[in-house]
Amino acid sequence: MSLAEPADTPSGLQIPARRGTADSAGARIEVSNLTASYRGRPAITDVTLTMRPGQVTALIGPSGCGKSTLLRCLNGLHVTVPGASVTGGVYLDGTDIYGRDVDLVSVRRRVGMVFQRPNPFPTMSIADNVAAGLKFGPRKERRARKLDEVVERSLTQAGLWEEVKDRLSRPGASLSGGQQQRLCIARALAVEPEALLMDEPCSALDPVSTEIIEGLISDLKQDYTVVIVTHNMQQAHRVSDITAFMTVHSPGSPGELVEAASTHELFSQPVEQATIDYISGKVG
Amino acid sequence: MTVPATTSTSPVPVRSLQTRRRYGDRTFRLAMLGAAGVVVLVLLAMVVFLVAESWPALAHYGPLSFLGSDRWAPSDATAASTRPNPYGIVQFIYGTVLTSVIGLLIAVPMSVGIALFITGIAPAWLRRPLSYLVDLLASIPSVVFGFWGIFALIPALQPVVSFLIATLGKVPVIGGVFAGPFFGLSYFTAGIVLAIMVLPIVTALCREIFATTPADEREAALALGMTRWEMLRTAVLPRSRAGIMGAAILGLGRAFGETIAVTMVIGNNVLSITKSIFSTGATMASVIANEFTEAVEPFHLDSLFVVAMWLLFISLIVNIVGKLWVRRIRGDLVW
Amino acid sequence: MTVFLAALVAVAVAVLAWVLTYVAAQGLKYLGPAFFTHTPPGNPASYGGGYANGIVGSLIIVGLATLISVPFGVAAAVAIVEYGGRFTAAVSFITDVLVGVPTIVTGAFIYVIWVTHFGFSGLAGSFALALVMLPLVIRATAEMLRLVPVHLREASAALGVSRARTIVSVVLPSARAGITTGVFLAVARAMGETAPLLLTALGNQEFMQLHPTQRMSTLSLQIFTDAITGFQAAQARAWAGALTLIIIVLLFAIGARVIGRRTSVTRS
Repeated sequence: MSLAEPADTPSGLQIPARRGTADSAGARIEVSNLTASYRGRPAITDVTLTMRPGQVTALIGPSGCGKSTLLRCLNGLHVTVPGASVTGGVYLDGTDIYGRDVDLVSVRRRVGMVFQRPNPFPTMSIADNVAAGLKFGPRKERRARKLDEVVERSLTQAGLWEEVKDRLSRPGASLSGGQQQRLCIARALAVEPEALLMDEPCSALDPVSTEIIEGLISDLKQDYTVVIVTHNMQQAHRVSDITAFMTVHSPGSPGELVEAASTHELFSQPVEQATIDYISGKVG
Repeated sequence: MTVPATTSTSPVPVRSLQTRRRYGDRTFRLAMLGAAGVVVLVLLAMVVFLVAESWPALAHYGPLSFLGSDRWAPSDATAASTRPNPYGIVQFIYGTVLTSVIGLLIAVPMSVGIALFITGIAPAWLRRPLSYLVDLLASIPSVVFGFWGIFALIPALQPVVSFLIATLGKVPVIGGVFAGPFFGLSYFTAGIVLAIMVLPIVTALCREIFATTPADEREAALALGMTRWEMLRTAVLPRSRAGIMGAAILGLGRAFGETIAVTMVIGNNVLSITKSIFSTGATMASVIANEFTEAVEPFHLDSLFVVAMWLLFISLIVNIVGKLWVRRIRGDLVW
Repeated sequence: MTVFLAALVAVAVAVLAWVLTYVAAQGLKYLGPAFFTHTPPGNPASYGGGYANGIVGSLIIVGLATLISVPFGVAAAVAIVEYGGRFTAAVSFITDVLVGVPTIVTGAFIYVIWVTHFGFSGLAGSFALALVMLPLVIRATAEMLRLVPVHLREASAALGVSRARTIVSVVLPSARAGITTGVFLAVARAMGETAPLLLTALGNQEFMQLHPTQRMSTLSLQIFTDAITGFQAAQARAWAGALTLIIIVLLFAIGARVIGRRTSVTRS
């Protein structure tokens, strides 16, 4: 039930401050020979993949193949579970986030996450939810910003501003499921990350909300590196530029990355047999 | 944007949980763990200081001499003499155990019955109010129970006790235990009061234990045509024996520690053990409460600390045994 | 047999009703506004007066005890739940054991470490009651913290909020209602305690004492002292006191349940 914090530094060698380069905003995430385990048993093994700014990368595969585990390795959330560990590297703009002197809390300022079930903070209002990351974060980030503006900007980016602008002080939990998820997206965007990880963001939502959020994703990729886990192949086809397929080859064995290519290529001309079987629906 | 020259083939060493902490996080964690440490410190300090405070008396009279006598006569004490030990504490241990046993003998069967009724027979809408009412008994302060015990319970007990003295008191061999006279304040009265005070906690524990019987076992019994009671007797009770035992042990621990209510109705006869349950007596807790502020004789206060020390040890042991027992049966539930 | 079991339940409820009605009946004979505003008369055998000093004393001593035990208790519970390990598992076990320590022994302990150096005082009484309340606060807080869903902690972590800040600004506020309930129940218990105060605060029958560094009286102590005298007048006051005490304790206990039922952490 508790989260454990590894690899923090006393004085905090932070990853260099975020930058938006002129050509494309967002960070480049490189996964290199990554194996992630729980209490010594690997959940995913030897994954190598690159996620580039300006693109949406989708992770697809049958349930239990480790796509969520892989996602959670990208912002260091995996190792907060007691007994969890990783080998290999995840490079954020060239620096290994699992390096000896890296402060994972600062990594998560740059790599945001949206979860499968919307999880707004129940005791806070809508505005407070959006501002939470800034209010509870490092003081110097808060200094230059006006919270009201940040709240409005983030809610606009998440496509929620018009619907809630008159009730910002209502509790976050009073919104519908789809609205709550967009609230969580706004909350993640408020801290101005460079990448946004989305773990099956629409699977708990109705089709209308799903459509709205899928529309958001296309907008978001201009400014953020987006990585989305989805069990819905059609969704991957709709929203992503790059698709990576993962699977387990036998029950109990760790997940592996089978194939990654541009979405169009993967769906029309998959190379590996496992990919072909999954896409054609032969295996679920 | 730099990419590492080689996608490293030699893996970074396995990173398991904690290594270092941010400054603020580290301070916070230490502060929280420090507070937790205080809890441990308190228990240790209790043991250490009580033993230390009893030490002069233990050293003077010898530790075992306290347990070897049931005569407590502070006025006999002089600074010089070491034998016999005027502060024998056996009657207090006897009083504590006797009143608690009487209390449990009454409370445990009642609690089991009440818990069975609440979990197995009462309709769903009745369950919470009934549980609530029984728990309410636990909220009543000890001093109020004692006060009520003197003025309401004792008069009501008179006819009952007279009857028992007239019947059981005449039985050979055990008659002495039920002998008169009965003046109200007694081990028996204290036992009744303890029964009332211990009932809620034992009932609550039993309720939890009975609730763990899987629904399908109950339904199977009912489907065979058993009445509610027969179902309880065959499907619920047999598997709950160990749990009931655990609840009883924890109830015993609670009874041992009860002070004020017992002090007010037991009569505080500290001299020595009296045979009948209808006579006055004293418990470890009651003698401390009664004599503490007037302990002026040599080694009097120190000897009261000897009593306190033993009371602490005995309750700790009973409570630890009870906790471990209940944990063992329940797997992992934290009480 | 069902009838027999139902009869047992009836007996338990009847005893509860008996105690409450008897105390109410006796107490109401004497309870009046004067009871709350006057102190006991100098001569215990004379009628009149009230327990104002005891009531005030109870509020002060229990108030101080709450101020002492709640911060330590909440912090210890945070350690047990959020920073779990073998040490904190031991702490959890010891907390459960501490609940079972007889309160007279707690009083004797505080006597040794404080009263022998600084004398009898309301403050000493507060320390003793704080020790009685501490394990209760820890248990209730730990239970509430465990109920806060992991996904709330993860949401905060994913925003790059530090561990400490997550606990203080997200987890604890979510558990606030439940923790308050636990504190109320601990306060109700402390208000009813007499034994530990016999050896620490000692009581002060004569006059109102507001300074915790002096001997103070509490409602429970006054009831105890007056109940066992032979004087009718003192006993009459004691009954009024007993009724007052029961009402206060029940108010806190019922208040605790009301708070607990109103808010639920798991609202999605």
